[in-house]
Amino acid sequence: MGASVDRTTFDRLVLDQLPAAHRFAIRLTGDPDAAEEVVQDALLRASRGWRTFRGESAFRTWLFQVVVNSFRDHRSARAVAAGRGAGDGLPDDLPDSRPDARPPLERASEAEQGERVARLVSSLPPRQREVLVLHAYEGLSPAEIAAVLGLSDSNVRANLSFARQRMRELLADRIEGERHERSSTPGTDVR
Amino acid sequence: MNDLPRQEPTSDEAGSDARLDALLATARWPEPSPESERRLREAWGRLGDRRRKTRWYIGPVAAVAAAVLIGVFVWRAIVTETREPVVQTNPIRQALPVTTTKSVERPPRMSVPWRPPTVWEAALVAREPTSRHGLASRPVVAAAGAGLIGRVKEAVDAVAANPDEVAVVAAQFSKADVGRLERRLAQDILSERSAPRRKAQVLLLAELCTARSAPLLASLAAEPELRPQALAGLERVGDVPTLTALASGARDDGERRRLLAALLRREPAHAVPVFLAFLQDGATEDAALAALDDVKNPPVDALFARLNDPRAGTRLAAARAIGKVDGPAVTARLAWMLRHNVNRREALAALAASDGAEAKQLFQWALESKELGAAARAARQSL
Repeated sequence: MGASVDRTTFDRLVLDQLPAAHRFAIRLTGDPDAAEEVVQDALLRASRGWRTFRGESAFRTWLFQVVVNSFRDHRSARAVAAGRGAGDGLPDDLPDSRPDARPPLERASEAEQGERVARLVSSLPPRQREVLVLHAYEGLSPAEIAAVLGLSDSNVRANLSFARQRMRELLADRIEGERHERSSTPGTDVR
Repeated sequence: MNDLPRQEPTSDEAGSDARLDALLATARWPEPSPESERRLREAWGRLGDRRRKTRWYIGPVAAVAAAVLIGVFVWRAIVTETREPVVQTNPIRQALPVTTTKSVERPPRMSVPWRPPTVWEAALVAREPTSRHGLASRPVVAAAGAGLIGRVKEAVDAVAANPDEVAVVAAQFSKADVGRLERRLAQDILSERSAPRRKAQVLLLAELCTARSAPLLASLAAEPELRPQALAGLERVGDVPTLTALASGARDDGERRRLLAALLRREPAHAVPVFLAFLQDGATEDAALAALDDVKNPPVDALFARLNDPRAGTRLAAARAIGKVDGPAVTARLAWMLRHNVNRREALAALAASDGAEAKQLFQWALESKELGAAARAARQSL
């Protein structure tokens, strides 16, 4: 865009990107209700600071930045309310890393598996979660993620690597199970 | 963290990455509900409206302020020009008084923090107005008053002898007598020395009183031996703020439950938000849920209206309350909401919170449904 936008255009841009921001907040929080509160707060901030959007970056990136800030404050507020120190770097709920005791064929259905993966992503440590969601689900490049989160490019890559490693550990039972199934199928070589 | 060496992935890791990507792609978060999207759009609209209104206000306010400032400057200029020069007739200059922190007399404190009225203050409010206007001196009124005093005394004696008969005793008084009767009882309660008679007086007052006696009953509730009787009266006539304050400071869950049930019988627009706040508090939620059982006609419409509240906690509390109320009409309404995708998450939470057979059946169907399964599981987890 290159130039600052007027308020009417800004209103239209917000309404266009609102569903995307809402979905992004759901992925960050893992909870639609908390996500709604985060987006409400983000809208308030956007309304107050709309002049800070100068059109130098994509509007979606700018709005995601506002949502991430609201999400961080929301977490801090929750941590304080829960009697913990804010910014402890720990996820709200520790992911369920226990291996699934059931045999693979009897495991959860596809939908349940999708919910489990979503739950695990939403319970990663906050920074890793933000990076993974922006990269894997919002399709942002590391440079764009760095702009949204206010990090360096190398920091984004390191956090992405840690997040993927963590997810690999958490989903080890599924990954191993699939590899085992593939290797037992004739004509399939996973290596 | 910034300078971590990046190693080339082995073939095993590459395969693992591909499988991880495939698994990550299956992630399914709950979709935003149409209601939440509508609420967010409305919130954005309200923010725009407020900004536009502010802009409308700022113009006239700035103009008025500017006019006032200009007026003040002009006036000062005129006054300065027309003022007579001051002629100092006394050349002796007087020393200015020395002001120290010790010499400054502190002004008396004019405001005091709020407190509930004392028994005497409450009685003063409820005192007999006829004496102020001299009506008591009229023979007819005085005779009627004397008759009432005797009847009140007899009634109190009867209640003191048999507290269970208080309703029968109270029925002997007509509605026309109630105003004078409660004033009489208020005076007697303050002057009575005998504890059993005082208890009987409060019991009778609680049975007959109007909202006018609520402040007196609220202050009597602070006396442990009179608290049950006073609370019985307040359950009938206490307003929402009084009942809220009493329920907050209730001494046990049973007492809180009775007060919250009384709260649910008040004007739903005021009572339901307060009730839902109690339901969201872990210390009072059990009493609040139990109170719903004690109300014959719970404010179902007001509870359903709260499913649209912008605060997630309030919506969930309303869903829990609706689930507790249950009943075929409620279940049918929730089924309609599921069918038409209106507050689906909240409707599912209400069904999950319900103990009714129909509601359980409907929730089970939702759990097994491909479309609603994820939302149903999320709703169950949120409770």
